[in-house]
Amino acid sequence: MTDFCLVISDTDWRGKMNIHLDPSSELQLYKQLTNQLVELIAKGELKNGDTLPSVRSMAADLGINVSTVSKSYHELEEKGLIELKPKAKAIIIGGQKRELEETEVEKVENALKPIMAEAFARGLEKDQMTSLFHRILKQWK
Amino acid sequence: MLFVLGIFIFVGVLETITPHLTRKSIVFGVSIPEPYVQHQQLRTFKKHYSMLVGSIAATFLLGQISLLFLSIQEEKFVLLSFILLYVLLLVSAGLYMFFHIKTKKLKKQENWEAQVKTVYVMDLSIRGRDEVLSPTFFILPIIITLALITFTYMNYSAIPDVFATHWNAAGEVDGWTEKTWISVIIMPLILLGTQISLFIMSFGMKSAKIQLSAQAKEASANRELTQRKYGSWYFAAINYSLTILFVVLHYTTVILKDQTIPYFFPLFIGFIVVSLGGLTLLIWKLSKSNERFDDLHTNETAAADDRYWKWGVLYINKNDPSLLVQKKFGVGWTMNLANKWSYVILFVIFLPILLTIFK
Repeated sequence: MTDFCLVISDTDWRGKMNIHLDPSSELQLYKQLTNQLVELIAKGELKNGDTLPSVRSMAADLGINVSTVSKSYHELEEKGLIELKPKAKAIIIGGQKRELEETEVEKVENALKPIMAEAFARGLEKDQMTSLFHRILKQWK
Repeated sequence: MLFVLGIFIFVGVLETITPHLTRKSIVFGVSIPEPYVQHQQLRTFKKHYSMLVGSIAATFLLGQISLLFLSIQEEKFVLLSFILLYVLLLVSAGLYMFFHIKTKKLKKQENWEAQVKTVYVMDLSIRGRDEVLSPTFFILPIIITLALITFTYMNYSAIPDVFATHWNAAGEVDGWTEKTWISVIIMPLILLGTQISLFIMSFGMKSAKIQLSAQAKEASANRELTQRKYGSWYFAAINYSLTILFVVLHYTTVILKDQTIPYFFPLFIGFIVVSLGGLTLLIWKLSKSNERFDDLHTNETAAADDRYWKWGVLYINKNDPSLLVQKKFGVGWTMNLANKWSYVILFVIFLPILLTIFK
C-alpha cells in the first residue's frame, strides 16, 4: 500500500499516535493533518476498522477549525482510506494489504515522477535515491 | 459550632490554594504560552493572591474563635460564620478578577504571543486510555429514586396528613408540611433533578476536550487523565451519598412516619465528609500529577482557547461538541454555554428555587 502523500510527508514527528500541526509551515493545516493520519495508517498505528474521533471532537482537542478537520477527512475519504459514516463517525478502511488496481498504481507513479525527476535534475544520484526510498519504506510495515 | 467552623476552615484553605490547583499553563484564567510558564511575575501574582485570601480567612477565623469564648448564642454564631464565609468568597472572586486582568495585561505588554510558536497537538490514543466513569454509573441512582416515588404513591393513603420536613441539629422536627400528591414526593423530586443533571453531565465528562501541552506532552496527558478519572469518581461519590441521604430521610419520615430521626444528623455529617474528603483526595491526586515545565526545549506552545472564554470563567464555544470543559480556575468542569444541554441543567438546578418563588 503506497500513497504519494507519504513521500512529501512532514518529518516533524514526535511519538506514536501524536498529531502535531504547525501553522507556520508552508503546508496547509488540513494537508498536514491528512499526511500525518495517512502516515499513521501506513505505520499500522491506525488499523483497518479503527475509529477516528468525530470532526468536531478532533477540532476541539486540537484547537483548530471544524472546517479544517472536515476538509482533511473528506480528502482521506476520497483517497479511500477512511469511510465517513452517519453520526460523525470516521472508520479506517485503508491499511490492509490488497491488490491495487492498474489505475491506482498509475496514479501513484504519476504523482511520484515529478518529485523524482526534480530530485534527479537537482543532482541526486540514482543510488542515493534508491537508498532514500528504502529508508522511507522501512518506516512502514 | 465546631462543625460550622470546620467548614469555614476548609473553604478558607481551598480558596487560598486555588491558583495553584490549575494546570501550570493557565494562570488566573489566562492561558500562558508554555515558554513563559516559569515567569517570575506570575509566581508573584499567585503568591500575592494566596497571601491576601489566606490572611483574610485567618483574620475571620480568629474572630470566630474569640467569639466562641464569649458564650455567644449558637444561632447567631452560625449566621455570622456564614456571612463571613460569603464575604470571603466575594473577596476571593474580586481578587481573582483583579489578578485575571493583571495577568492579561502582562501577557499583552510583554507581547508573549508574538515570541512563541503556536502549534496544534493531540494524541489519538489518549481516549483509549481514558478512565472516565461511563454514564451507566449515573443511571442506577435514578432508578432507585423512581422506585422510591412509585413506592411512595403505592402507600399514599397510609401517609399522615402532616409530616416532618425540617429538623434541627439535635434531630428534632422544626418544620411540617401538609400532605398533597406533590408534597409527598418533593424530596425525591429534588434528588431526581440532581441525579438527572449528573447523568447528563456524565456524557459531557466523557466527551470534554483533552488539551495537551506541546512541550510537557506526556505529563499533560497524565494530568488530564487523572483529572477526568478522579473527577468523575468524585461526582459519582457525591451522587451515591446524596441518594442514600435522601432515600433514608424520605423513607423514614414519609413511609415509616417516624418524626425524630437520631441518625439523620450523623448521616448528614457523613455526606459532608464524603464531599469535602473526596474533594481533598481529588486535589491531592491532581497536585501529584500536575505537569512540570522544568526543561523547556523550544519556544513552542499548544494553541490556547482564550477567545472562547469570558473572564476565564464562562465558556462559550459552539464548535466544541461537548457540554463540559475543564475549568480555567480551580478544579473540575464548567459548562459550555453554547451547548443547549447546559440550559437544561441550569433549568433543573434553578427549578426548586423557581417553584418556591412562584408557588
